[in-house]
Amino acid sequence: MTDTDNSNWMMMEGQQDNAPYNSRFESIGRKLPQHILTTRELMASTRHHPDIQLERLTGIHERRMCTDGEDSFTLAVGAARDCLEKSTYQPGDMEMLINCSITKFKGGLSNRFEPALAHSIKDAIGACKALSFDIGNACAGMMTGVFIMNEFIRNGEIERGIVVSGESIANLSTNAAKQIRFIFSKQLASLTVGDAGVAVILERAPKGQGIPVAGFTTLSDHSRLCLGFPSAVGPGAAMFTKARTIHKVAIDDSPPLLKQVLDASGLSFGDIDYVIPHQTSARAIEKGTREISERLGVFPKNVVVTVDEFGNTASTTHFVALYKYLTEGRFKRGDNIMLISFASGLEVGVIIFTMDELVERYGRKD
Amino acid sequence: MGVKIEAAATSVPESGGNLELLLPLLRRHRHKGALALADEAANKCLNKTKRQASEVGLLINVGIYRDKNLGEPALASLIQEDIGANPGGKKSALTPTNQHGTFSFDLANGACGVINAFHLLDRFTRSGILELGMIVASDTDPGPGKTQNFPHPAAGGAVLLSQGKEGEGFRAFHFENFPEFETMQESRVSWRVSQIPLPFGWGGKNVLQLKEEPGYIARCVECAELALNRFLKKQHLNINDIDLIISSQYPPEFPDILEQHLRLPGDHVARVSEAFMGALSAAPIAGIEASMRSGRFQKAQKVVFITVSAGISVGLALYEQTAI
Repeated sequence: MTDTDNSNWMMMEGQQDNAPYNSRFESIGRKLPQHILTTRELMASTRHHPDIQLERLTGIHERRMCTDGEDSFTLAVGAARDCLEKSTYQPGDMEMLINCSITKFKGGLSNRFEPALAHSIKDAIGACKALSFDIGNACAGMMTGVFIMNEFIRNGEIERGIVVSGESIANLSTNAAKQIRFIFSKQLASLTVGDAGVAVILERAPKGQGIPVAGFTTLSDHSRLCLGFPSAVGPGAAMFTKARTIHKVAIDDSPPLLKQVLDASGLSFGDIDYVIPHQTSARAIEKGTREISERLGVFPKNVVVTVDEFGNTASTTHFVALYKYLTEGRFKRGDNIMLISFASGLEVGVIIFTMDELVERYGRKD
Repeated sequence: MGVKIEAAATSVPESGGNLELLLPLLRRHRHKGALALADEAANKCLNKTKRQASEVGLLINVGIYRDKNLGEPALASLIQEDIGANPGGKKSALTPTNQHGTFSFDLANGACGVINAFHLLDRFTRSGILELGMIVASDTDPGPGKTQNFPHPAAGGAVLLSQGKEGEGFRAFHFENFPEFETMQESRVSWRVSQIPLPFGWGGKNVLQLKEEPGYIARCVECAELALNRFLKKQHLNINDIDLIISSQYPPEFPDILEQHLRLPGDHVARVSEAFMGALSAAPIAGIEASMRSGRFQKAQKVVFITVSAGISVGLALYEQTAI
């Protein structure tokens, strides 16, 4: 695809808009484990002491890590409760609950396949009326959940629901630390991950507010560049990634896809006040933003980077970052926010929305 | 506008005949994994309708048990690549052949996942942003030697959904959960420490364990019946208005016991071949395929899908045909 290609590669919500409503983020919640694992501590724990300057390479200083009593389920429930505390709704008002985590650990490092974790989360928070199911879309999981719920709300089938994810994924680092010998190890990316839970409530909004467009596609020619399985060396999982190749194809292929969504929203990349990309490494975000901006001919005003503090928290990264900036009062009403997902698959997703009264609920006064 | 089922197809592992009894290794070699079963069913389904894979706009995989318990990426993306549905990159130079790309992801809710996926495709199709959607389902023993009590036969299925005439296709969906029975059936991958101590952390393995409590089948039937009665009441229907029931197939006795409870004549419930008895996510698709093959699906004016899975979760859908 060339940068001027006009084909409709992205599956788009809001482009040819016959939907009677929009949806908007009504509330955002987050739950982080208490334990902080620094990159220095992680590298000191490696069995073969590889010569890798991980902090310099990735910009990651630390990440959170689950300890006893914490797992995907507790993080998801904690985030959902935090989200409901900040919401005007009660749990019983939720009509749909989508759980989007890659990891489904419940009761420690025990990954549950059945029943769907969404049912347990729904029961734990008291969202007794909600239709619940799990989806899986690697690190694009939360954004995929929002994309699905957005469609149900826009078309009036439901009025509100909650999308949730708890990622207990830092066990990848523990397992990789036993095996990595060289910088070119396919498990290197496993050292960048951290644990977090997030939840968002979406509600019906009048046309012209909230999320005007959202788009997703899967460039499956690259589907085998990152594979995750249960680990062979310890509890939890292992992940094997061709990180440089993923970064290259994401940068090469994404500009026309982003442009398609921007065109549908009537905005240019330069109109975006805050781009929130998937948080892999600070260097990759900086390099990627520069290259994509050069291809699109304009730079966004701000690019959000939180990977230094939390690591790559998989499906939750965009909303961990959104929560941090909201609670720090960095957004203001009217800011255009663009969430961009590049995830194993290769999934490319974009959600654009305008910041509204959410900023006041999270403490901004002006 | 309605949203109709265009075609359904299934896949099962090839049989190696009597030789398999003698050579277990041959059996493992010949048996297909979840990905291969899904690919085969998807391709068969496309061939039935003479559709191109590039026409599929949204692909949802609802299988649960996959090769080596793959956790990432979504299996749907691997299936999308294998069947050539706008894979992008070098394979189609990032130019979609049908003027749209394909979006794919996984959905998990046991045997009810198919109904959840019907619901999603119905929503996306009605709103006009999707013309052709595909649901793929497959389950296999993820890793022989690394599973305990795996009860499902290897099976795959695929179904295509597209825009239909007004009044044709899916009319309503209904989902219920019964959390009081949440722990009656569970499957988990957990680390099991080896009996023999080994160095370098190799002293164990991650094992998939499935647990089912006695009485699970009875609770499944009770929950399904309760949810069905509420659903039919909401739709102003009674059980005698339904021409065909397509059910999930796990627990294996579920269709027969449900039929007895509902006091239905024998020919109201779609029968599947022996290969799909006890199958999980692909079983409802096998029911569609079998009843389409016999012509019963096309003749039935009102079809109800009844699925149960761990949770206990019940998923129901009402599907109507326009009069022939």
